Amino acid sequence: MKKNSFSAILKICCYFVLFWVLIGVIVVPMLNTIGLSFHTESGVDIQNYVDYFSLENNLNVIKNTLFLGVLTIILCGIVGTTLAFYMSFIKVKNQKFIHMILLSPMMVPGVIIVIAFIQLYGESGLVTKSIQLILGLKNIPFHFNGLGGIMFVHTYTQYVYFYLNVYIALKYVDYSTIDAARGLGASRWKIFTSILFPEVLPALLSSAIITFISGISSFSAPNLIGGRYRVLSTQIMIAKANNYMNIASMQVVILMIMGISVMYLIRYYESKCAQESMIRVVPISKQKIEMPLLRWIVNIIIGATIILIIVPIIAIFLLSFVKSSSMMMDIFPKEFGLLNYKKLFSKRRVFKPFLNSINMSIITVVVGLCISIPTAYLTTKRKNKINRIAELLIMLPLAMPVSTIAINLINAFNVKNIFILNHILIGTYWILPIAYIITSLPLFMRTNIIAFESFNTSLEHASRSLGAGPLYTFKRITAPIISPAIISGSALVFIKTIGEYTMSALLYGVYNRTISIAMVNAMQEYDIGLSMSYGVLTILICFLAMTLILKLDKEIL
Amino acid sequence: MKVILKDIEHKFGDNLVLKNINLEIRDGELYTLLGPSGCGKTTILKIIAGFLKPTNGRIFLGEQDITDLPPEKRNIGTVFQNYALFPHMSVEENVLYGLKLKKLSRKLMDEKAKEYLDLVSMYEYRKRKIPELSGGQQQRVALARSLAIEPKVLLLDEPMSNLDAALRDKTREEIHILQQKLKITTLFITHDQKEALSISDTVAVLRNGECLQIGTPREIYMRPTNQFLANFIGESNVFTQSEINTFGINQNISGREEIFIRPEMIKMNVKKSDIFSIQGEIRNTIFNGSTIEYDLIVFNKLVKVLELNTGENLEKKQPNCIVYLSFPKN
Repeated sequence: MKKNSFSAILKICCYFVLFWVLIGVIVVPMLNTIGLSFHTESGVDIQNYVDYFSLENNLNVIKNTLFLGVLTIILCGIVGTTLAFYMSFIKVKNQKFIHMILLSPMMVPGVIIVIAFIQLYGESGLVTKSIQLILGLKNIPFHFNGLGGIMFVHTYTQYVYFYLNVYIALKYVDYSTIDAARGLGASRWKIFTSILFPEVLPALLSSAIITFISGISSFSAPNLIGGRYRVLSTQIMIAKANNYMNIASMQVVILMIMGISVMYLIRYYESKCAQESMIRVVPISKQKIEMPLLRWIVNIIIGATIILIIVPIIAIFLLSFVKSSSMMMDIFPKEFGLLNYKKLFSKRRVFKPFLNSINMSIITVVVGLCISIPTAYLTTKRKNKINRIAELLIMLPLAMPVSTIAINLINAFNVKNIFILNHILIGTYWILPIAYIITSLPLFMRTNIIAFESFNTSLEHASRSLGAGPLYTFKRITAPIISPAIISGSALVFIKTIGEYTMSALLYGVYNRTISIAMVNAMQEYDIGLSMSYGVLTILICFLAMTLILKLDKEIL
Repeated sequence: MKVILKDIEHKFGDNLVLKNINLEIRDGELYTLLGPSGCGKTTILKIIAGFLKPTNGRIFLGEQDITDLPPEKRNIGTVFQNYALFPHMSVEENVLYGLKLKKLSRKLMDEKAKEYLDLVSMYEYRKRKIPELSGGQQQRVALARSLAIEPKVLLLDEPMSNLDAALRDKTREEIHILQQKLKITTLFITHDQKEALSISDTVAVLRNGECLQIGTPREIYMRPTNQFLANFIGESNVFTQSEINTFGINQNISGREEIFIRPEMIKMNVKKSDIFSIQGEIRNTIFNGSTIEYDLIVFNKLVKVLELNTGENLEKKQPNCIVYLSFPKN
């Protein structure tokens, strides 16, 4: 009985800490922001909203944001799904290698890609100028800014969600059902609509949620190349910079409503098309394209896609060796060397952002695991009310665009806050890790829940009946079996955190300048070489993490 | 070591899944819990193994009350339906897992691992990884792993359900021989009546969380106490006392409303005689190879009869034939 009361107390303590954290950093800041959005000079009313919606410019910003989100879903969906179908159904030479290249945008943080694109396709970009020279044009052949530019970046950085999710879903299609349909006389189109489409629909919907949320909250692309195309996230930044926190809060609320409503709308459809997964699956047999002309066309399209994907990455590596002053003088850099790397590694001030980002990413992973593992374990073991509420709170940030999370934190922690024992957090080191943790919790939670759900509890029973206590069982049986999935989830969080730009831009201070901030600053000071060498370091670190994921997660390959 | 379950009751939420279960498994016997899925047999196994605590009642292992002991303190071996072999360990490591926890010397551990892997003829596969084994091989390793810790009681949770028919018969015999050799108290769980009847010393039949009948396989088959039992274990013709009377048999089984007669107990002849006195008409025949099943109409009642295939009856006893029946005397 003594043991029981001890574990009961431990349990209560766990729940107390968990809810303290969740309510303190997610719920209260969110309510706080909502409250603040109603603050006006004359008291509490809806005047902010009335004023905002009465200006046509502002309505345009909202329209732009929504349009950006929807367009992101559509473009990423088309590119990612087509590639996934191609890689699943068509015999491809070097299948594995191409698959890896198609996945590579995952390990390049968005902000680096934007900078690389500016160097390639911007006004004085390498590709732009080359085309102009080759064709002997007077003006540059295209303008890489505005909506087109943003969409190019979004498609590049986010089609991977669709690609990977659909690719995995297609792995679970039972090929014998396709054969059966063919045997019953179904046409190709009929097979697609009646068998394949329902099978990949859940993957499409969950990818749509992610791309929509990141589309409407994207900041680096609209900020750096958006030009006159204004969206909510850039407007929030401007309001915050001018210290109109109630205006920023109101824009945050609008963005949050967009995010949450679209997520629940999609979730609703998702629940309607939920499917039982099959256990035994006959894998898809890949086919050759028989018509030579079609094969050529397809090969050219795929080849072009691959080139589009790897060129920016190659450019980042090349430009990191370029002397920045030489970039300024010539279109095509002539002086190469290790200069930038020397600068990076010798000057402490220059190297510091890199260290900061790594440290904060590690903190994010460790704390994220500490919160999500017990919660995931409890929610899979017991589906009671408390556990469900905990899960719901942890998943809430999924629907919250990152800039809204940042503004929520600013509003909550720029005064003394009871939840962190009456301290002010804004301007301190810890505010960024907290923001990173909040955004990464849903991802942690999902991978952990999947890991725990697929774990066969009779293994624990077997261990116990062979004489092992609960702790020994966890150490020798549970942990080794679930850890690959959890480690690969952590590596993914690490990749997403290390190059994070939006929240970093809103929250960084002197103590925690991140590598993404340093990168953008260097670029704005025309020190392209240094900016790109930061990029190379980040990509290398992400590449290591990615290798780890591929090694542990057999599903991706 | 004998196992006693005393007044066991178990609830999942408000759902009463076990009602007043009283079992006594004698030392060294093979005791079978037989019942359709959802009857509570796996719940009983979990309660004995210690993975579930019963809502009410006590469990005794020998003289010791083990109701409150955690599974690792009970020394009861379990073979799971899906074997539950540790996928990240080799065959040998799986078997050594429990031995290491007993803190035996390295030499003794290796000896025991070899002994029990030999017992199930899996020693040569000791370095294999679990996913490389077939279902039957996994089952043997699971058995060796449970036996290696020399448990006081062995629990087998439908251990054959994932094997194909041929392998199942073979494995069943092997388990039976092994059990007799080791003289280990064994609780065997199955929904297959053939399995239950062929190897058990005692069978307990369960339905909806209640124990319907306990007895030797012979008693269970020959003297079922109600219609569910009569039809769950093999097939039975159910007659009321008045029906028996109309057949012209003067039988009075005291205190029984219904009488169960197994199809193979009824004899059938094409010619009428003193013994074969009751007339019936064949409606349908089912050819099973070694046996033939007949559906007969006797005084407007459907009666099932089973005969061995003698070749002769295959030709003579066709649908629409009139035959004469002889019922067993008791």
